[in-house]
Amino acid sequence: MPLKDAPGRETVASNCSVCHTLDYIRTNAPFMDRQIWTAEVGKMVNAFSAPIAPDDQAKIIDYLVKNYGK
Amino acid sequence: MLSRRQILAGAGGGVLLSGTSILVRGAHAAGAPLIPGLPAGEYDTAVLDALPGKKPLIKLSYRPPNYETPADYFKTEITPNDAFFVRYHLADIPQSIDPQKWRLRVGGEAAASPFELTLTELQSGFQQVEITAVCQCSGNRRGLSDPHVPGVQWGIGAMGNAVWRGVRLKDVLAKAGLRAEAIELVLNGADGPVIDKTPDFVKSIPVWKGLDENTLIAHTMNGAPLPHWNGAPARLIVPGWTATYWTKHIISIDAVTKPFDGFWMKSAYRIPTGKFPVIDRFISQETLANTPITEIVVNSLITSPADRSRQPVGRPVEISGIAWDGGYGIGRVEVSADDGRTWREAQLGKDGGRFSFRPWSYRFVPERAGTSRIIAKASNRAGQTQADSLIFNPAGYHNNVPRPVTIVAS
Repeated sequence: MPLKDAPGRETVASNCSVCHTLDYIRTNAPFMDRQIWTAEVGKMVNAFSAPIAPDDQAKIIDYLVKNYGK
Repeated sequence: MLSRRQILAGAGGGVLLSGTSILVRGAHAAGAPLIPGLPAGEYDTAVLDALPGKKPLIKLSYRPPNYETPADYFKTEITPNDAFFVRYHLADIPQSIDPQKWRLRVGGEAAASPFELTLTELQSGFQQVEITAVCQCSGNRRGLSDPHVPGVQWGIGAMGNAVWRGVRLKDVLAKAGLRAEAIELVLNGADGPVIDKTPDFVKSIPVWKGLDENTLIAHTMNGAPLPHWNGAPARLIVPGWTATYWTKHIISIDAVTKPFDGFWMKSAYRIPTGKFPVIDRFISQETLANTPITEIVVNSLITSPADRSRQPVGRPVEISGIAWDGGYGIGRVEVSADDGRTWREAQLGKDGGRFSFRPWSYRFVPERAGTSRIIAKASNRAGQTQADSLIFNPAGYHNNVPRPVTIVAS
């Protein structure tokens, strides 16, 4: 499991790896802040129709900001 | 949904992992020869890896595959097929396409005589032409954006130069009875999204660009059938324009009378209108705020010597490199060893055509012990020159700031 072991990891891994590698998270780090991670997750849901429940979206954004953001 | 394991198994077995890593000063511990300046996370993630049929390339992602070419391969003007970069947006990629069963549907509302093309017809039913052209990802060098922006964090290797052989798109459109009302050609390939609702990677080009004599449907690359990962059995070649339009595994071309409004045209691959000095514009897609990326901007790369090479004082060092642009032709390459105070012209090498990498060389003699920063900048025949500083844009496109190398003389 390539992602950092922290709360929310499973939610991220199970939702995001449906469509693509988790390397996208690791390589787009650590320069993205909450605003940018929120926009990226929003793009996945709104533009690409990723089936992510709103609660999970919040968990995912928190995990990304804390572990792969600034 | 295809996993990498499935893709590899389907392609017939072993991964061609080489035991030797490419030794480049500054290479990360994982062996991938990454340039400095990329997002920190990439140095922990990128590795050298070999897709079936490919040499070890710099893996930025497995699924979908995004692999870039290590810098050493650009020492020759033609990029070998097995070192050519690989880029996909969407992960549902066919394991293989049976060349006998492949069909290219040419039609749309502005085609009077739609038809389906087979590979045999593509290879023998039309005049065959060859063109040497650089295929460069719109986002090449995005990893060097400052500040960094989201996306595939390419270094310098999402590009390659090849001899493409195929038929003129205009000849195929003539057979399809292209109507005068056509304004765009909508292009689709056989790869697609994992989830049905994700927009498929469908692009359009202006009809005038499709009718350009250099726009080809290619089946052969550097004398061999297109590699699977580079779009077998046929792909579009749009010389001078970025690779987003070079549809891989092409299966349909539709002539339309209204601007295509798919996601990957309307909401992706756009640059701020007027921010870049490009000449070709995609007017039917342009808005006040933004416009589709079109031409490759003039650019260059020093391929030798490597950064921070040690050289003896007083002896000439041959600086070599390549230069390329959107097809206006390289006019000159200038080199400075004094931080841009003075410039001298490099010698241009063999001209492989206006869409090809143009080699150049410059003889530099370090006169004193110490470091010298060698800057090369290219200009094309349309009067464009590489930007002095980054023209920032949120998608990280068009990075053509010169990339100096340092020589350490003693």
